[in-house]
Amino acid sequence: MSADLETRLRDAFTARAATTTTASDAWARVNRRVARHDQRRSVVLRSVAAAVIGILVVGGGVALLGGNHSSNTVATGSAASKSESAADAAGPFLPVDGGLEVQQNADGTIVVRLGSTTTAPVHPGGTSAAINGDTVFGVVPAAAGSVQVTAATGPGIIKMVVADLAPTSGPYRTFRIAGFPSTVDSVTISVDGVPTVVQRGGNR
Amino acid sequence: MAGDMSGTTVAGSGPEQPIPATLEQLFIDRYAAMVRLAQLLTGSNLAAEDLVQDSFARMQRMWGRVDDPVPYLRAAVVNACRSWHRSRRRECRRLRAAAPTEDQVALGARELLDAVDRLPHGQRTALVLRFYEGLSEAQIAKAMGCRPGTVKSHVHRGLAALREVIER
Repeated sequence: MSADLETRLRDAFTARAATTTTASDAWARVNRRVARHDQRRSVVLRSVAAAVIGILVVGGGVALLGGNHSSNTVATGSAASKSESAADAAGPFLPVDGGLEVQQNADGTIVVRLGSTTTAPVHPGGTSAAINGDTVFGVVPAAAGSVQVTAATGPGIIKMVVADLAPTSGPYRTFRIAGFPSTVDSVTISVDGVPTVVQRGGNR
Repeated sequence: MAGDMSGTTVAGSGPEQPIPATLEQLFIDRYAAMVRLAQLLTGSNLAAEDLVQDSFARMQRMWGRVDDPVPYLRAAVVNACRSWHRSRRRECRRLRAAAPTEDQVALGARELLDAVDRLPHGQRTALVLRFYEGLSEAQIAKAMGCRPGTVKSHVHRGLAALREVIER
């Protein structure tokens, strides 16, 4: 009885299996799936790599700027400065802490901008604060339409120039850090209460 | 296409075959057999092809890291069919009901297959791998990711359930 059932079962499976058809382009479909899987994977890997590179670039830029802090450098609001600014904008803006996006420029400066999703954007006429660790060492008034702002400094600690604060195209406000102290390991840039920590040598 | 399935030839038994050198070779050797296996496990030709193609695509990433790709592929197909059953029970019924190929199966065999389709997935998989693929309990256990004792139990209970249906 059991042997009979097993035989019938084998025959039934064989009969059903014999009705199976396969697509003639099955191998091509498999290859398309492989390509899709690879594409998804490479998008993920590229995103991770971009984030890591961005962090390294920001860290490297910060390190470079650290040696350049004789900066009474004051960016001008001239048309030339603005076109230079546009030329610098070749690299992508990469997100960092605090809802800000940071771009490394060819001239070694860093442009920080607030994205449209940031809940506390810089308002012309508002204030920006540059903070060393937890110590606020400068409060920068950002007058409407201003193109040049120099940070106030704490007692003998640091001098930082924040310049070129101006509304730019689109939903962003950008400002440029033209000097970075060589004596500190990290600086927190806080714009209307939204902090961004920039580490020398790269954010961890 | 069914030529390699005639008589009692079964996909998983017989003398040891050389390990395919490339995924394409594995595809040529095993694609149709895996689709047939998947069809027996899902009851749907369309789903079977889809699941097997996906298993091959996933296999590509593992190529070179698997000692013997055939058992690995079989386990991948069995797992894919199990997932398919879990997530698409309704569609499974619809596709099975719409399958035109069922008419080609003899009446007695179709009743038996209907009874197999109603079995729990574990019992159904064990019966297909045992009586269609001709695998040993150890091989079935490897494909299903369970113990040989569990396979034995699945086969025993599955056959008992089928016997009950037939004798009714």
